[in-house]
Amino acid sequence: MNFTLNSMILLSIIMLVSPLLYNMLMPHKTTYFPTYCKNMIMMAFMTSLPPMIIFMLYGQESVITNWHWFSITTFNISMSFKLDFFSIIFIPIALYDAWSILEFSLWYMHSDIFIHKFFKYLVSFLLTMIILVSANNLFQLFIGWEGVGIMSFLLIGWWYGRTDANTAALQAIIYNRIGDIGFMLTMAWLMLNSNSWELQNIFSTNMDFIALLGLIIAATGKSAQFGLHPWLPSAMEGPTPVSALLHSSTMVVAGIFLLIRFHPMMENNQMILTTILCLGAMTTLFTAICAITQNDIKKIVAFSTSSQLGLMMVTVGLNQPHLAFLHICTHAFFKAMLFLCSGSIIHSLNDEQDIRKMGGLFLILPITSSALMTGSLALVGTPFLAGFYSKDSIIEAINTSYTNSWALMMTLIATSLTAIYSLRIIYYALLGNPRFSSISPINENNPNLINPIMRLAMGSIFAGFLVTMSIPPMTSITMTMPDMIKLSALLITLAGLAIGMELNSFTNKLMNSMKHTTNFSNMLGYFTYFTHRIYPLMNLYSGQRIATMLIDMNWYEKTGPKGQTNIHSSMSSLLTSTQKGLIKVYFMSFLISITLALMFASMSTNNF
Amino acid sequence: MEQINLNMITAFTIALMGVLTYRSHLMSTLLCLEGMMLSLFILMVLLISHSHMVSMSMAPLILLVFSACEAGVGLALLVTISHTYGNDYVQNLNLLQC
Amino acid sequence: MSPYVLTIVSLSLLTGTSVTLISNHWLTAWMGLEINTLAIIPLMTYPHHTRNTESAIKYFMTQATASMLLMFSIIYNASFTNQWTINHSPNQWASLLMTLALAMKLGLAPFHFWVPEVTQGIPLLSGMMLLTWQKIAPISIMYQISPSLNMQVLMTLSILSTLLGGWGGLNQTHLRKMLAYSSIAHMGWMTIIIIIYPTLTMLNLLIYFTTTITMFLMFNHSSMTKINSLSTLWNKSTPITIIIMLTLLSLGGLPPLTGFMPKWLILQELISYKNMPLATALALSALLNLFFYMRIIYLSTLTMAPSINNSKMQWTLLPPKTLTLIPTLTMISLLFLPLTPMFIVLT
Repeated sequence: MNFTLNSMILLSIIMLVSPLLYNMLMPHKTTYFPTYCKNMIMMAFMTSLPPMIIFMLYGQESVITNWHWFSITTFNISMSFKLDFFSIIFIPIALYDAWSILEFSLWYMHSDIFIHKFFKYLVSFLLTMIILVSANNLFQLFIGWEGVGIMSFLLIGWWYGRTDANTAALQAIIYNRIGDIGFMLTMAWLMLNSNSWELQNIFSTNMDFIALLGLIIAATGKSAQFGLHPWLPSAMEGPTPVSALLHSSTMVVAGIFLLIRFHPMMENNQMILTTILCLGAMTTLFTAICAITQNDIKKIVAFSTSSQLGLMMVTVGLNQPHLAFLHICTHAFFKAMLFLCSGSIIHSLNDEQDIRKMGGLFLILPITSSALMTGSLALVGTPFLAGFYSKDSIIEAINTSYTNSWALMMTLIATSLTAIYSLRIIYYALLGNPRFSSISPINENNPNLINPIMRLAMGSIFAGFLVTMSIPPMTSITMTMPDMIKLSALLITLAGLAIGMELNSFTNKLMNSMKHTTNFSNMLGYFTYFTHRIYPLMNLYSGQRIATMLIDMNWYEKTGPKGQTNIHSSMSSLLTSTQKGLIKVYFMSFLISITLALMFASMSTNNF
Repeated sequence: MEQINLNMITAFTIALMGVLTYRSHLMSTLLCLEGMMLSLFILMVLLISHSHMVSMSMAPLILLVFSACEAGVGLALLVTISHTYGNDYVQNLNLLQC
Repeated sequence: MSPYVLTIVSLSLLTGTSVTLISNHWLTAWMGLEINTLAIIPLMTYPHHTRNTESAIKYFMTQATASMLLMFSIIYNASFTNQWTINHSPNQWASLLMTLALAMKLGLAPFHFWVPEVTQGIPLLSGMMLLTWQKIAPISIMYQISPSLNMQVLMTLSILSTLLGGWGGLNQTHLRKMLAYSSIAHMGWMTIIIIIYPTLTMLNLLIYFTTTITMFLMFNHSSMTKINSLSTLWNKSTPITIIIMLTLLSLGGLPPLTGFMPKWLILQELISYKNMPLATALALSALLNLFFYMRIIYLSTLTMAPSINNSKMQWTLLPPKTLTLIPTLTMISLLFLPLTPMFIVLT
């Protein structure tokens, strides 16, 4: 049993590596490479299913240590995999998502001449994420962590001819480097204090506030929590499959995953839990507010991801890591699907992303529209769709816990805002009259487009039920509560829907008094203005001042070379100007010097 | 200190000040130099006779001889310069300024 | 100048310095100084010109005043201690006045005004005598009374001399004035060490003499008094340009040359006496001197002034001049650095 579990998981990882090896060994055979990649990932998914079933049936977990990598005196680093609840459940889901997304890419990217490279990047991206989730020591985890960072940089900047894409890629890499500082802090702390990066050794020590704060910073960077969030909406400059992969099963959930991994270290540290809770609440509300006025369909979905990540963070802060993990799993399905649907719409409308220029698509893109609606409903937590199982449990857990009511309020408001922005997409893109150009190349017949969306729609409908039913319960959940609390998630969502309808109707009734209230949301809370404009401007100013004032003016002109020249030439001409050739000058100087010398001597002594 | 010693030191100091402060005529500077010399002579004589330094009794005369030589050289230079300029103004001596 | 007068004057100069050097009595030492002063005046005034007379008057006035001040301090000292011997350490106030009087004679910084002007007004060889031979007697007196000299005053005068000697030379175009300022700076170097380690003063004096005499003899060899006459030197007397360059670098104290020796030893001595700020200031002020030496070098050696074709290679047409003393002095002023241990022992 153990043998089957370990070998099949490793086999599926090796299957992921094989397209990369193939491309490395035969770089010119690119014609069937994308299809090969897709099939390999499909097979990897199939291969990773038996371990999941074994885990579900028997609760089998294991740690594999294959190879002793290297030692630094007493510090050992080995390559080892941790196959536990999180990784065994997550790997099939990630592979399932990736399979669909790669198949979708075959359709979406078919005209790109570097499509084989694109697929190679996507597979590498996925591989690093699998390495991250299955790592049993921090070094390996860090390889995965940095791997998703660098692959996201390459993929977001895929259309590098566009300035925006380059800027977005740079933003992603820079914000992630800030997070990496936190991760390295924790790694350095552990190296000093526990002399091991193996997870089982780390879990037997006590990490203090600083070390855990490093993890929070790392998660903030990678999962785009408040403060380091601006890269996530910018990352929409990448191709849509990239956004789908980035937002569903790789990259952004890595930060949350790290916190879930390190949960045993945090569960007794109330300070850290409160920090995570407040950070998550702030993120979920802030990004939800930003989402409600966006017009770019991908940006709305991106902000909704950010908001859901905040919700996951809140759940981790509530001391419910398994619930957060459940939300990661369900979220992966419908978020990937939402992106694929937006990709379909964008492609069908000739690269139009603005929801104001869509409308009436439910008639002409029936599969996409129904999938988009299913996904949105799953996102808002409609009962018995995937989102319901995780989101409703989270809201219930918050409502029944003795926790920060401020964070609770934030989260509930954000939940109702979820309904508003989801409704907005449906209302503007699918309903009403068409507002797009009449010669759009609308075509929804390609199986490479339909199959992935259908598969993910299946996932969005059933995944929550299946996962909840089959995984063993890890934490005790409150079973009884008043009706209002039980229904609160649904009620606030319905309230959000109502408010959303009202807000949508405002667009037709322009009210002057409300002209500027949307600015906060529209300008993304002025956050990017402050961080991306004022700080660089201040730094550039101070750099200019240092260069011109301190270095050039002060050093070169006043004290340095020029200053020396001035001092010496002025001293020299002063001295020359005293040489008048007159005896009176000599004698005056004699008189003064003698008098001064005598005065000086009489001051220093007093005997004659 | 005897009064005459003090007197002579004062005389020397005044003559020195006379040299060092500005004179319009070279002649008066030379006279001040002579005054310094003479006051030194008297100081020396006083010292030697007062302390009975018999072996040094020639010293004041040697001093006087040198003062005469100096005065001679000084006057010779005065004559040379007045030969050129027709007067002995000190301010004429400004050819060598930088 | 008639040979008789020249003989008498030269003998008197020799006598004056010798009297000062061998005397143990203040009066004779003073007599030597007086003889020196009076004997050089005919040499200064010899080609009859107003400039010569003027510089003779200036020299005479300052030296006479300094002599008077010295004599006064001698008598003052004798009236307190009843001693006329030099070796006897003098009264504190007398020693202060002596320091000032000798500084006046040497041309240390606040008393330095006469040096460049007097040097500029007189012929090159007289200038050479003035800047070398005339320094021996005052320095020797200073050397003998060095333990009782006033430290603070002398140090102030020395550091001022090195700085003003550097600054003064910066915008000069007359070679004699440059050498006079260089002399002021060197006097500063000599007097700063005279209390701490008088032997080094003598060493510095010797090396300064050889180098300065070399310079003066070379300038005299081609009758140069201004910096612009250096630019045509290369087609009149080529080897001289090289020697000028090396000798000036030696005078500035660059390492492989002899001039480095005294500077090195003086700085080392000052540092071993824990006087870092003074050593730093001295070393930096030497750069100022080096700067105006470099200007001479630049004009004479490093550049070739444009000249018409028939004036090139003039040295082939000129009658050869005897270069008495120059080769020997050049060797001494350039190549004696390896003999440093011997010099330390001898002086």
